[in-house]
Amino acid sequence: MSSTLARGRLSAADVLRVGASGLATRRLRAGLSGLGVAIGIASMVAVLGVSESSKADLLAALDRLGTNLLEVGPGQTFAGESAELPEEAPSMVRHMGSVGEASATKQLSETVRRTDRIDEAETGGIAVIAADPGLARTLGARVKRGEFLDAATADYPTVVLGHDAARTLGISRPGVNVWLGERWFSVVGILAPVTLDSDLDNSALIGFAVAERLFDADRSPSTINVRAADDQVEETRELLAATANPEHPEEVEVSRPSDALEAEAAAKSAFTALFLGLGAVALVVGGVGIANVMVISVLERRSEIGLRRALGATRRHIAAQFLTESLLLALLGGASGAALGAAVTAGYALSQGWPAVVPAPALAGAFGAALAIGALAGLYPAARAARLSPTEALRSV
Amino acid sequence: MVVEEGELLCVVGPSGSGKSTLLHIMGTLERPSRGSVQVAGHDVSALPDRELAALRSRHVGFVFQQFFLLEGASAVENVAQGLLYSGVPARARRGRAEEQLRRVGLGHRLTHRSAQLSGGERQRVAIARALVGRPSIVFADEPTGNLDSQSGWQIVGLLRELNRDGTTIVVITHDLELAAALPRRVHIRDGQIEIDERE
Repeated sequence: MSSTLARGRLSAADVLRVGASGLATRRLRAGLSGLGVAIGIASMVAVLGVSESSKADLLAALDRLGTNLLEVGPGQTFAGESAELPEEAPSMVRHMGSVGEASATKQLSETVRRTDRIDEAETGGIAVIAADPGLARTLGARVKRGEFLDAATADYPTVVLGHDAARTLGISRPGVNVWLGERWFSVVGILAPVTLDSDLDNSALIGFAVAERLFDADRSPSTINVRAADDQVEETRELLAATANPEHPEEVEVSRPSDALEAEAAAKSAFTALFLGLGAVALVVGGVGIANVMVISVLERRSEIGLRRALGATRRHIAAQFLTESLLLALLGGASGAALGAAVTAGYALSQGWPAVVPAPALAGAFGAALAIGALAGLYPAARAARLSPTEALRSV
Repeated sequence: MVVEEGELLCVVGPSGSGKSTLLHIMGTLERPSRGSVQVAGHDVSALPDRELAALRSRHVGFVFQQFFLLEGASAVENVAQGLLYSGVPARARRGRAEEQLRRVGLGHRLTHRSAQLSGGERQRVAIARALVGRPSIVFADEPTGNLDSQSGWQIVGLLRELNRDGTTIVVITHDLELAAALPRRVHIRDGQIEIDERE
């Protein structure tokens, strides 16, 4: 006879409705416990977003500047002393078929100061470097103000300051004089930061001719920057040492600056893992917060549980209700956290002039993590609520 | 003890006499340690939790002394909860809840939250919730216990009226004056039925 009893069914929409109404009547508490998960998710999304954005910026810069730049410098002699490149090395390199352009620089032992009244020791670490007029183009360096050295100004006491050097000297526009190697030099240009050779940022560049005349410098370069044909970079790289110093090719060092930048981009990803771990800790703490609120909720709502059982809810219905509440809490926290993390990423990227990148896997991961946290946090309270016998639940008030 | 369809009876006894336990057992909220309970032809002791719940959702209604309304929900939403577990679609639940509220005289309080209602009105909402599923039997546990005497008598009047319309109702109370107003009285003491009197 009892087989005629159809079992009660609760549609998915009803489960959602019951769970949502449980949260809606306790908004402040729901908001606060969701906040914990939101903070965890936001920090993870922001960490991933910011690191992706900075990487995207670096790679975009590499794309713009090209990966075909090679840097030639003196290595060490067989005896372990520092070697020198021959004076004719730049012109030898320029004559290679696969080389588009090449520019030499030479480190000088002079100092540069704002005026002659400033103590000689206070150089601010600014290097004085003799440079070919083609250097800016070879490196893809941008002149922020004024002009770079050209064939004419390279013969005269004129100087181009790197970005940081100009700031150290307190110079924001060309036209002023600086005290360089016991002489006044006129500033003709200020560089923007040079991505492919950040050493130039803290240096003062003068022409080779004027360096030779005033400071007795020779023309043996300390670096030669070489642009190779895009499809022959590796071949060029192998030939460069022998071309620059045919007598002692072993005393020549050749490197590819874009390799260092690519390595830097990779290193940033590794560093991200640490912050991601911290975000995960915040997320777990948020999950514990939800579990805590749900346990309290089950204790407080014993009479509601009893009533629902009296109205015909099965143990499963009760468990589903509390599990849904916990999942909704975590999802709400996850969604607002993802939005917050994306906003932080966009804001930070904007302030740094980077392209804002919020990786889709990070967003998907955020929702996945929120769901997992909600399920884990809700499991025990839901089981507890379902275990409660109806009479026990009704007696409690 | 047998409750016939269409009856209005009360179980009377001092506190501790076992009347609440009797209510829980008759209402299938608790299983008897000895003996058997049949509701609408179903032997309760043989049913698993899911079928017992289905039995409650279709055949049994409860009214409690403490009303047990959902605080944040409106009167209609509270009454509609009475149909939630019997598989009635959401839209139909609302319509039937409104109809039932009008039947208990609360047509003008449909969207009021329970906090905005008086005690008597809250108990009417609870009664509407118990009746909205058209159960075979309604158990009312001290339905007037939390009310002043005037609202209490109004509730008793409402129960009599609903009974006249065909609802089977069992009232549990310790109040002899209330009991005297009902047609059948089962007196219990120390878990035993002492007197079963009818008019």
